[in-house]
Amino acid sequence: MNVDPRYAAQFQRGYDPREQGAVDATGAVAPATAPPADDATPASDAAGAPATRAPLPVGDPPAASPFARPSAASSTSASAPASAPRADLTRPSSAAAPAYPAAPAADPVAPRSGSPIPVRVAVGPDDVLDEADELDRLGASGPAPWRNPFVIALAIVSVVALVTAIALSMHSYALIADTGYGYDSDRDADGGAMVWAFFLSQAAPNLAAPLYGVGVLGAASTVALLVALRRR
Amino acid sequence: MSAPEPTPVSTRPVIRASRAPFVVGWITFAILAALVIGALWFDYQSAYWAAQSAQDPNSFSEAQRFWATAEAARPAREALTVLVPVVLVALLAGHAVVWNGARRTAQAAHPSDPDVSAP
Repeated sequence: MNVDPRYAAQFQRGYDPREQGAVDATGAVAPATAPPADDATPASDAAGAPATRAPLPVGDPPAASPFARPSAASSTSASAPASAPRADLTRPSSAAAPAYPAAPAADPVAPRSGSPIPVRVAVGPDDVLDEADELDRLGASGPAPWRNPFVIALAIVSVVALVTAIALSMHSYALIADTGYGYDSDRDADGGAMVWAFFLSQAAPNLAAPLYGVGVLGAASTVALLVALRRR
Repeated sequence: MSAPEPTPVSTRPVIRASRAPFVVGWITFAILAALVIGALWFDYQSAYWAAQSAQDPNSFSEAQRFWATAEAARPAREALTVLVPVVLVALLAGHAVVWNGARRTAQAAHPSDPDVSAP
């Protein structure tokens, strides 16, 4: 694998926007031309990135960059040898010595190097007012859009109707098949129980039919409403 | 000279035009549900006339009248079987859609907007 030694040294050291001239007059890194500093895939970096980058400066070594690694802060010239211990910085699996000093256990999010990294965040008074407005709007907006009480009611009605219809069907089946009211029925049974069994065996299908309709239609409508009201 | 009495506030519920279809729909559903329950009378009478026909052969003509009535009412019962679920589900779905629209309107109308005036 043949790689230009200039680029090879740059890859081993890590990306430094200052070396590419991607800085404005004040020394801050221009955000539009700053790619992610840590590229996890060196292969794609070696394949595609060098063609889009500006050529390396050949004059004086650039000033110290806040993006440079602490061990490389003393020598940031482009001609640094690639055989330095920091050559393994991009490969965490190698057995090289740790490049960063260990962070203190009490404060795991503290910056690892002594020099703070300058970060500019553009926040003006207008932005703060917009945030407050948005928070007001969120607080006054009420429950989440999927908590439609009528959709919940429709779902509950559908489930109850379906369960009731199935229970009625099973009960009427048991009445007709087991107790019976015809030739094989129990002739010594109580007359009232016979009448009730006959009535229920006749009435259960007529009651179960609309309940099945409510259950099936309501379940389908619940799903359709959940989809439709969520999308709009 | 006493102070004029305040105008009594009417406690009669006001039905807005947007809610009138729902009021009509729920009344319709109540009537249809009552018809479904009332149609169970045919099932109860069928039990009576089945037993009566088994006991008294002379009641055949009266039993035939009942069965003819039940058969004449069967299409209406089937129509109720189709209509009641459709009306109930349509009412609940309409309420859900209207509620969703009202909520979106309430979200869009913010007190900071100049179009929204404080009461």
